[in-house]
Amino acid sequence: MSTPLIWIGIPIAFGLLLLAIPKRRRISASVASLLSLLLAILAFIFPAEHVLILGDQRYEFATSLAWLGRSLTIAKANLTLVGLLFSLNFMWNAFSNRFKTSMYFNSLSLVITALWVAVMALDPFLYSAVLVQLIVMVSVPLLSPRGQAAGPGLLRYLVMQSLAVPFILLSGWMLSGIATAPSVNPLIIRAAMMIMVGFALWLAVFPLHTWVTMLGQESHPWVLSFLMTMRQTTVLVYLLGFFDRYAWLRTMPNIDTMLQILGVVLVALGGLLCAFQSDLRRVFAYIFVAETGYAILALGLRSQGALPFLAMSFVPRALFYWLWGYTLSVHRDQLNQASALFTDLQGFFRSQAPLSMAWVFTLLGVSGLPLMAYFPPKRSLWLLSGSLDLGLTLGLVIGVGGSLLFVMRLLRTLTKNSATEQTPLRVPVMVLVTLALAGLLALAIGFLPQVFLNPMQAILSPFTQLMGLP
Amino acid sequence: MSSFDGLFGGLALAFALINLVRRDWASTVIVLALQYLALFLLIFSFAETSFALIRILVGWMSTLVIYLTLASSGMLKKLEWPPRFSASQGMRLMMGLLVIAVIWALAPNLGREVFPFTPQMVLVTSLGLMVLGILQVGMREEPIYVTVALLTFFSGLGLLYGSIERSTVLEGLFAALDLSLALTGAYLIVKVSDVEDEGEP
Repeated sequence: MSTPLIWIGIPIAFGLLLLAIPKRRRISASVASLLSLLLAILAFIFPAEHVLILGDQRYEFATSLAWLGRSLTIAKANLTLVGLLFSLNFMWNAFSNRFKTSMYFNSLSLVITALWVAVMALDPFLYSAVLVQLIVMVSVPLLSPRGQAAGPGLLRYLVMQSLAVPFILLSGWMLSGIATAPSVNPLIIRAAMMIMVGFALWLAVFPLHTWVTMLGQESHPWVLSFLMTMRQTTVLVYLLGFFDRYAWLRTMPNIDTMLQILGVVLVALGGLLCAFQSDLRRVFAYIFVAETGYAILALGLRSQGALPFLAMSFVPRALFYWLWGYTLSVHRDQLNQASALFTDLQGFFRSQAPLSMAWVFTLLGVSGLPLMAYFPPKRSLWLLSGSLDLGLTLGLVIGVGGSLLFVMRLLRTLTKNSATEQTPLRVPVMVLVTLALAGLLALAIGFLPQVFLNPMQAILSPFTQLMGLP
Repeated sequence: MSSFDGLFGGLALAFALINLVRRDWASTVIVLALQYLALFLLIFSFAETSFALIRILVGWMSTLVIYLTLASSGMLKKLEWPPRFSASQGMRLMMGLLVIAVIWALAPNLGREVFPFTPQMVLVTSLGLMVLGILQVGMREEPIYVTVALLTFFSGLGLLYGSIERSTVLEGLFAALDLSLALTGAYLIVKVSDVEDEGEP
C-alpha cells in the first residue's frame, strides 16, 4: 500500500463507482462525505514514519507510486494540504443534496479532489499542467448540468484554462537545464513571463477574470464556490512549488516588488469592481480576484516573513467561500429565488432576515473584519505592507474600502422599503442551525487562531528552499 | 526527417485552415480525422512508430466520439456540394493564411533561440495548429467548433512537446486530455436534447 493509492487511487475509484448511481443522491452524498472525512482525518493524523499500528498489526506505507515510468509522491510534508483538500470536499459534499446541483456532483467532486492531490504529487511536477486541464474537463458537467445550453462563460472557462497549459508546460522545459543558475538573461525573463501568464489564466487574474463573473451568473453557486476554492488553494501551493524549485525565479531582481504591486493592484481592483456590482452572483468573482491579490502579495512579502500568513489564510477563505456558496444556494434552491439582483432584493431583510445577515456577515468576514476568522492573517499582511510602502497600504485601503462600500449598498438594498408587500420566506430550521454554527466557527477561528490557523503553516514544510529551512 | 515532412505538415495546416473557414459539421469532423492522419505521417517521420500510433489512435477516437454524438443527435446534415464560399469565409481564410505566413517567417529565429531540437517543419506545423485553434475558438461559440478548435490546439502542443521531450506519462496525459475533451464536447452538444429524458438536472 502506498500513500498515493490512499489519497488518489481510492477516491478516484469511489468517484467512478458513484458515477453508476447518479440518481441516488443521498447515497452518493453520504459516501462522498464519509470518505472525504476519513481521508482528511487520516491525512492529519498520519504518522511521520508512514507506519500505522492498529492493535497488533503494523502497516507500512510507501510514499511513492511508480506510474508510467514516473512517480506520484505524497510524503508526510504534503499531508496537511491533502487533509485540507479532503476537508473542503467533505464540507461541500455534506450539504450537497440540499441543493439542485448536477447529479454527478458527489462522484465528480471526489475525482476532482483526487486529481488536485495528484497535481501536487506528480513528478516531474511540470506535467501537472495537463492534470489541471483534465480537472477542467471533469468539472464541465458540474458547471453546466443537463437541460441548459452551454453558456459563454463555460466556453470561455474551457478556452482560458486550455491556453494556460502551454505557458506552464513550456516555461519549465525552457529552463529545466538552468534550474539553479540565477542570472538575468532574456531566456529567464521570457520563462518567468510565461509562468506568470499561465498562473494568471489559472487564477483568473484581472483582466483574465471574466469567465468567473460569467460562470457566477450561469452556474450553481454551490458548484462554483467548490471548484474555485479547490482551484485557488491548490494552484497557489503549486505556484509556491515553482518558487521553491527554481532559484532563478525567486532570485530575479525586483520579483518581490513586482509581486507586491501586482497583489495590491488585484486587491484594489477586486474591491473597486465589487463596489459597483448589483448582482450577488457576480460578486464572488471579484472577491476571488481580491483574494488572489492577497495571496500574491504574501508571496511578494516572503522576505518579510509573510508566507505563514498565506498558509493561515486558506482555512478562513474557504470557510467564507463555503458560506457564500451556501447562502446563495439556499436563496436559489430553497427559497426558489431565481434572481439575486439588487432590484429583486429590495426589502429582502423583512422577508428573510437570517439569510440577509449571513450575506453581510460573510462579506465583512472575507474583508477581514476584526474578531472574525480572516482577521489574524489579513491584519498581519496589512501591517507588513504598511511597514514597507505607503503605496501598498493605499492600494489595500482602496480594496477593503470597495468591499465595505458594497456591503453598505447591499445593506441599504436589503433594508429598503419595497413598493410591494414583502411576504415572509421560511427556510428550514437546519439552515438556520447551519448558518449559526458556521458563524460561530468563524468567530472561534478569529478568537483562537493559534488552534485553527497555526497548524496550516505545515502546508509550507515541503518548500524548504523558499522557507529557508534546513 | 523524410523529404515528405513538408508535405505532411502542410497538409495538417491545410486541414486546420479548412476547419477554420468552413461552417459545416460533417466536413469539420471528416477534416479533423484527415488532420490527425497528416499529423501521424509527420510524427512518423521523426519519432518512434508507437508515439505516432498513439497520436492517431487517440485522435481518431476523439473524432469518432464527436461524429457519433452528432449522428445520434440527428445534427449531421448532408454535405453541401459544391460548397458555397462567402465573404466571411474569405476573411477567415486570409486571416489563417496570414497567421501561417507570420509563423513561417518567425520559425527560424524561434527554432534557433527557443526550440533548437525541433525540426523546423514540426515547429511551423505545431505553432500553426495552436494558433489556428486559438483563432477558431475566438471566432466560434458553438460547442462543436470550440471542441474541434481545442483538439487542434492540443494536437499542436502535443506535437511540439513531443519533439522536445518524449515521456510516456505525458503521452498518457495528453491522450486522456484529448479523449476527455472529445467527451466534454459530446456532452455539451447533446445535453440540451437530453433534458426530456432526464427530468432533473
